[in-house]
Amino acid sequence: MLTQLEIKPRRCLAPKDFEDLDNGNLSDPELDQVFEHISTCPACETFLQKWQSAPDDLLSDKLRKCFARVPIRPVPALTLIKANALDQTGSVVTRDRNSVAPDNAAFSRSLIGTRIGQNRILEEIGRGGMGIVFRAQQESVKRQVAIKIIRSGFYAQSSVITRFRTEAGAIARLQHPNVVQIHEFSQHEDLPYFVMEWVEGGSLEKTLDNGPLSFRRAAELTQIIAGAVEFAHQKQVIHRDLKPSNILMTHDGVPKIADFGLAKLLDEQGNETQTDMILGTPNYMAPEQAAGRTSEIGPVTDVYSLGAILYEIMTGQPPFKGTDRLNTMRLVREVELTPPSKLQPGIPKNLEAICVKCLAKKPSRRYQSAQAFADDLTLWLADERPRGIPGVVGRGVTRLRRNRVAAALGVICLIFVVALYLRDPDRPLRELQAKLAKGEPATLIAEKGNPTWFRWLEGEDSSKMVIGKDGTVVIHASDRAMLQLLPSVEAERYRFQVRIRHEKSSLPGEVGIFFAHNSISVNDVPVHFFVQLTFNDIRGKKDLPIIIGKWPVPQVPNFARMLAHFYSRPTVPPKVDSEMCAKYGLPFDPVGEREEGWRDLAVTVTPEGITAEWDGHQFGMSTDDIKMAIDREIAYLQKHLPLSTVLTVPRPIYTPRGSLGLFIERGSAAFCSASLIPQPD
Amino acid sequence: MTEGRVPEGKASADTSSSLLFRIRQKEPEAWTRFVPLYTPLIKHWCYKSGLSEADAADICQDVFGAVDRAIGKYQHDQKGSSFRGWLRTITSNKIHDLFRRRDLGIEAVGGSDALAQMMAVPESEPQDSGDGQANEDELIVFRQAIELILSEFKDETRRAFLRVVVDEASPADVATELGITVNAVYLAKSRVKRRFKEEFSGLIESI
Repeated sequence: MLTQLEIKPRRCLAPKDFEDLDNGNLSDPELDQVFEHISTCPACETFLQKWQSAPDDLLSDKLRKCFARVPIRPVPALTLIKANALDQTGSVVTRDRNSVAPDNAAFSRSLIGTRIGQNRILEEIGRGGMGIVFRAQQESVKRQVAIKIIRSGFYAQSSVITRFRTEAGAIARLQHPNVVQIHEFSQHEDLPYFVMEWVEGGSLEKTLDNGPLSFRRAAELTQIIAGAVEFAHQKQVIHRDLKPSNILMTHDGVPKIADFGLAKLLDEQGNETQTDMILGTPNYMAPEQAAGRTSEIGPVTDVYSLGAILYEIMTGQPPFKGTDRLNTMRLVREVELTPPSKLQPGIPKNLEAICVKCLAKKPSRRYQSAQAFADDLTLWLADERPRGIPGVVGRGVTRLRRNRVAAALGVICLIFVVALYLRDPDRPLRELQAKLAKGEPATLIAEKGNPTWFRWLEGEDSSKMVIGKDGTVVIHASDRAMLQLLPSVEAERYRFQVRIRHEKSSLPGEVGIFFAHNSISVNDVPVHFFVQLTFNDIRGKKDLPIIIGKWPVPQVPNFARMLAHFYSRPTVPPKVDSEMCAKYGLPFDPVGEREEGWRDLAVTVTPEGITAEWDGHQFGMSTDDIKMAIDREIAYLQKHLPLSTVLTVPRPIYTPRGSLGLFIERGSAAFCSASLIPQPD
Repeated sequence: MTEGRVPEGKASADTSSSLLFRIRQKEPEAWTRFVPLYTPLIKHWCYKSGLSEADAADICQDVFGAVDRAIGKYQHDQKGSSFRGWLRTITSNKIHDLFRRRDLGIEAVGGSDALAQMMAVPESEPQDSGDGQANEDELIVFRQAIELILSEFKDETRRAFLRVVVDEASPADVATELGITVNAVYLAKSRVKRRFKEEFSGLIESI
């Protein structure tokens, strides 16, 4: 080819040559020859510059198409040229976020005004990758709730449902004033949904839109959020997507953490080995998360995001903000943090140091727990030197001398704050358990006031615990309530006794105690097995049948009974509610809710069986009775429940060891004493 | 000067057949072309299914392993079995395998935005009948092809080429922008195109 050109080096170019040039059909030597000629031949040069590419130039056409389809945000082609073109092919990835949007808009509209469970859907308030959130009115109790329902078209995916459940389960574990609470998890026409506490004030993101907060308020807010995050960590839940839009604010300015859609449950099987999707919002994402190093994701990952939130509250912007998701993730991984004070002059030095420490690229250089971070904020708020940050000791001393009074006041504040903080809610429980371990009786409820320690197992949302006029603790339950007084009894033989008064009730409910309780979590919902001793001391209006819904319910006679109970919340599968092995006490006349209506209930629990004492007489059941009843019940369930439920339902086991507490079903009861007395072997 | 044309070879209506042919001959060089060319597409499918970069990289390994083992069985002239469709089937199988493993108890991760992609798990049936999906897939491969070619050239050439061909700027303007001669702009355009045709002639005709 070269020889060909060499023969006619001075020849002017023909249209065919321009075509070949334009289409890239010339070799390098040929190109050299061509341009050598053009540079000396104005005619050819002019011709070249007027040359238009053929309209059917497939290659160019296709190139334009493929660059035009660059995703998410159209970027000028030039900016796509990267030195490492091979590595940056991520830009080719078109993540069409909106591909399912039209369906969902229609789906969302179709739900407005309809009822889901007990709730009337009012309006859509948000949409995530997995679900749509609505504001709704819970009709039974006339309160507003938020309902999150799986997005239309997504429900067929078992893994999506699993994730959805995980989210519900994560929130259910976290009963905390600064975590949005879950009321219910259920299904609506095969669509799983859950009902959550409604937080009226919008998100922290919205709050920040209204203008900056003071540094003190920034520290206070972050400290409260960090406390709730620490609580979640204690419960083995890592949030992984903490950001201002996921912090909801009540009208009173109380923050509540929401959206556990990305939560990771540390105690779930197999978590250590999984390589998760890179999830989360990159602006608040820790570098280890942005790099996809899933195994490193832990509490300290959330500490980073807490720091990012503090950063944004103080400076008005997140620590890293790229042109797109990938770009932001790269910044998070690789680029050094701009100190907050560069963006917002006047940020107190120590507060800045606390914030920057959270945002260290290396997890090991951050606060090692949300608590440590919260503690330093507490110190800062008390005008004390935070412990976790580097600094000069001398300066602190100088300041102390210079402003002795203020410093002394600060110390007093600090002691106060620390004292508050040391009031560990589980300390009474440890004291109870220490007593029992020594074989001493333990007081679970005293003559007046709240139980020594308690936890709601069931019915927290449908119950109220208050202190009555006479100072005793009263529980009102519109549904079934189980209040645990001791999470485990480490004894084979014990006596559990309570003084109880059954108070006003228009419903055929019963009140009493439960014990020998253990539960297994299935789909994040506890399935309980326990024995209860309960009675009904109030007779309804004698002549009138009670109306529930449309149907008259026959009057229930008064009774006291002891039975084994296998139960899970009826709103969530697996639904089981089996009463077994019931033994009744002698008939009695109700005392009603009169002042003297106190009754003594007691059970003596041993590996051989249980003896109940009520109204001056005893009745009981043996361990063998319970075992046989369980066998019969399981055989029945296996025949009648759907297979999927049978497979997930654990087989209950009776053992005296377990937890115990109060059982109140549809009614009110006051308690003026509850105690546990270990019995000799 | 038509002699300068790179023979189109046995370009089929789909991928670079000569490349496929060479892969079937187990030419190591063909692999070094093939792997980077198809990696973004496979990753794209993975991301659409909501996988992380790390998972996507694993899937790529699995897919290429499977291609290497099964390429002998692949019949590119068989009706309805485009190479991309075949590759897509392999990929979606690998992704489903991964999800199955996860679903057996490992998964405890909630999902937000990325989860929306989960529904887009590529079906095992290739949707390769000239619809938007196939078109998009093809453009991804094409885009990667041009990136591979551009990476051989110096920055100035890359810029000149993209400005003129993709942005359809006039060569004179681009020359001024980049501070080079107009001829250099034409030269850039021509050389990049030639290299592209030499390497991936089969990709051009297929839209």
